[in-house]
Amino acid sequence: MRFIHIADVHLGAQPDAGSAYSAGRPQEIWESFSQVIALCEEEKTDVLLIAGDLFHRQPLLRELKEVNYLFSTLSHTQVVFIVGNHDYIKKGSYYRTFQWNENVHPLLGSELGYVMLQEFNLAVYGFSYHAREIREERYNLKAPGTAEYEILLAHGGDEKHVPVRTDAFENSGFDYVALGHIHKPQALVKNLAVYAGALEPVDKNDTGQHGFVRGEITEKGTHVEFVPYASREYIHLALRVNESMTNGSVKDYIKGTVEKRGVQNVYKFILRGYRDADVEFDTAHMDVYGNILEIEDETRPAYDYQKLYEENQDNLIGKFIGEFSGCTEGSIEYQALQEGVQALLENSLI
Amino acid sequence: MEIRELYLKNFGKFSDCHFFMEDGIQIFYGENEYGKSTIYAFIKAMLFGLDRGRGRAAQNDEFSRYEPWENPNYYAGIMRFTSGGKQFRLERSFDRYTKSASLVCEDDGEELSVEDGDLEMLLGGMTKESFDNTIAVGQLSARPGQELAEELKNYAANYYETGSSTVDLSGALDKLRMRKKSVEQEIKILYEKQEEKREVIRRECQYVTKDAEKLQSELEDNQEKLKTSRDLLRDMELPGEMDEPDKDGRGEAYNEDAGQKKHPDTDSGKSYIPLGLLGIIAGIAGRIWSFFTGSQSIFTGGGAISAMSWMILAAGILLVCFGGIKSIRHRFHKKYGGEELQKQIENQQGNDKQFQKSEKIEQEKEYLQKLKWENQRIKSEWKEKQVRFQNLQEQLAELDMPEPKIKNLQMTSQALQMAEEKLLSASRQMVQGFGDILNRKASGILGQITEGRYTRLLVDEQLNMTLLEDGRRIPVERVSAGTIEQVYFALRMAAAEILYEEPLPVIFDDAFAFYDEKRLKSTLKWLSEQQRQVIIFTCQKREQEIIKQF
Repeated sequence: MRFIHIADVHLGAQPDAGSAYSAGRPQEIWESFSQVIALCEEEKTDVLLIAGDLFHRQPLLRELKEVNYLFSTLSHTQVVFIVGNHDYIKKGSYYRTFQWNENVHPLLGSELGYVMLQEFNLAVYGFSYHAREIREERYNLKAPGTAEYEILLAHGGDEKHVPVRTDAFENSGFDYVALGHIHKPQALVKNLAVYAGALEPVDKNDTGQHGFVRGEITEKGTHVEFVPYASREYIHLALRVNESMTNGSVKDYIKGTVEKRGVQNVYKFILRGYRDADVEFDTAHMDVYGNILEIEDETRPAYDYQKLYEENQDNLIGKFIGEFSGCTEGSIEYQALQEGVQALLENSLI
Repeated sequence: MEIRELYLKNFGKFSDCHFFMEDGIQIFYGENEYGKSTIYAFIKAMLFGLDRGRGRAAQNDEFSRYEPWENPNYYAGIMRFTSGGKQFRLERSFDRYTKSASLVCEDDGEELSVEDGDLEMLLGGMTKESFDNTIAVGQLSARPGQELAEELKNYAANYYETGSSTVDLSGALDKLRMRKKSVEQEIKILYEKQEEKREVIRRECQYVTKDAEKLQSELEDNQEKLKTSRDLLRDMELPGEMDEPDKDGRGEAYNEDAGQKKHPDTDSGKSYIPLGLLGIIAGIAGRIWSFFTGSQSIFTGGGAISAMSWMILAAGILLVCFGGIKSIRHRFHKKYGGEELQKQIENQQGNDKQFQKSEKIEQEKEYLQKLKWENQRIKSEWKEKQVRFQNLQEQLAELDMPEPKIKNLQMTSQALQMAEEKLLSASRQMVQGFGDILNRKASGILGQITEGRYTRLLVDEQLNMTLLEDGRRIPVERVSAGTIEQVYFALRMAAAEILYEEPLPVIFDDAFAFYDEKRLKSTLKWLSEQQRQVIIFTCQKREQEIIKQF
């Protein structure tokens, strides 16, 4: 029995993807989803598992129709899905009334239900969100043993969305637990309980690779692999500057890095380290390809506060630094110290 | 800095006059009218220039006062001095046509520029005002001016006990304020951007709401129609109630309700009448013909003709009935009076009515179904709008959460505010520290020149001076004129010492008039111990005599 497991597609999301890509991003997410469906058809995948949050918000009827159409193009694949916290089944949700194609098996109940797929000797269990949050640990389940192979579709894993304990799955008896909600692909238990992660990154903090999980369950057991599939990747990079760097060199470095890591990706840079005290980075004008979301400037002018303090104990600079003794890096006080010392040193004759 | 030579080329009463000076105490003794104040003014003019006032003020300003008595267009002088081990020659011309200044280092011949502040640098940044307030002690006006208070305060903020750098406090504060302003501006822009986004969504919400309202009213209309149609249908299906006038009446009312869409035939109905009449005539003709050929027709093709004539007749009547039953009837009555015919026609009409009624019910049912579908469509569209609206509201709520970038900027703004406050508080500490030092220094000087009579002098930020004697506070105004002069002197010297690293010459212009012998002696003694050139203009001989004793 071969399956593809996707999660957190977030159709309808409009993630910020830089000036160049933001406008087309919602469409790209749809594209990616329909390509996965096409892939299922091409590979004759037996089951497509969707572990919640197919939509970013409440789906409109026409959106459900679109999705249903895509499902209807599958000649072989059976689709099983649950509904997650983002598009939870609220009162009046179209999920309640929509007529799905016959190869689509939604598990819409708020209590655990299952669908029996006789041809694969497979039972898929799961429940859907009927509220934005579910705070109970509800996945401490044992496989009921209704079929030879049993899969649990699960959505959650943080405090407000069905907290999950890893060991609960280990001896649960399920052949596979297809997890959703956490956007970063990861295995809680190798080859057993796996987050497919968001199919496409849908938030600027969804860094790293995204895609889906392809797996197979045989008598020998379950084997899964992660397939990178997303069209873009959010990349956060820390760039360590030194005192010799200028605006031009930082810009060139950033440009070079973007070219090396892929112009199609979306970046956030954090500048760290000590800069020449006379240089101020003009981060607003370093986005060459329109794919940089943000350049955070955490650099500090190359001051050694201890040394400065010792040298200036009896003057204003020393007194000023003295006002901040014992403050920790990253605090407001520390920032005030930096700003103040910079202002003082820029306005002094040494 | 030591003044070596004053060469008054043409200045006041002096013309081509040289004065040479040594280190230490230099005394210019002269009787009244000798020109001591002129020399004093010359030194000041050489160091800081002599600007001509404007308008009325020009009549009594220094420029006019010392304008050469002879040849006023030649108004110039030279001063030689040493500073930092080098000898300089400063030459100035004050008159309005050849006004100029030149400064040359005589050791290496380097030309310096007075305009570019080279002289100012040699003077350690001293201005004319601070010159007046510190090292230039005039006649009976020895109380330092308020400018000194300001200068001391400024200096205090920049005060370095060690090291040689100077910090521009107000510059640093300005920089912090500017940064804060720009950060706040950035925050504002970000907020505006967020607001724009919100506005777009709000507008969309409005559109969706408007659409939903439209659908709502459409739905209400449709419900109304649905209700009318249902009632009508119920009435139609109830037998016996179908009295003709009643039915007609209701039909008309109904037609008004439903509009033209449902019964397009009502209006064009009349056009059926002639067509119907034509059919009827043809039918009747057929009947009459078959009547006459009665016997044969039973066996021959006449039967077909007869049947056809019936059919044509029926069709005709049907058409006419569509147009308006009443008018047809009247016409029938008028045209054909034959009883048998009348009966036949009425019979036929009865059948037609039955047929027509069931067809109407069918139509009505179909219409009702359509209305139901329409209802469903509106409802589902309305629901779609509702979901969309809720999604938009959700999006709005998400936008209400502050962006991390704004948070960061707000933190920066706070940090800048804090930096400013701390900088001010640090500088206040410095002023306080500086005040202590000033007090200590001034007290020390005062103690020496009063031979221990007053050892504690307190000077506040406004330069109010108070003497402390045996725990009593004595405002300086209450002590004798001589002591007041001495307090001022102590403060001036203390300030000069603190403010200017370069020991500049101290110049007294008849400043010791109120000093008694003892105090004058100790003052001169103190002065002689300083690393400064001291220039005393006096009209008395006692200073000279005291100096000789050292």
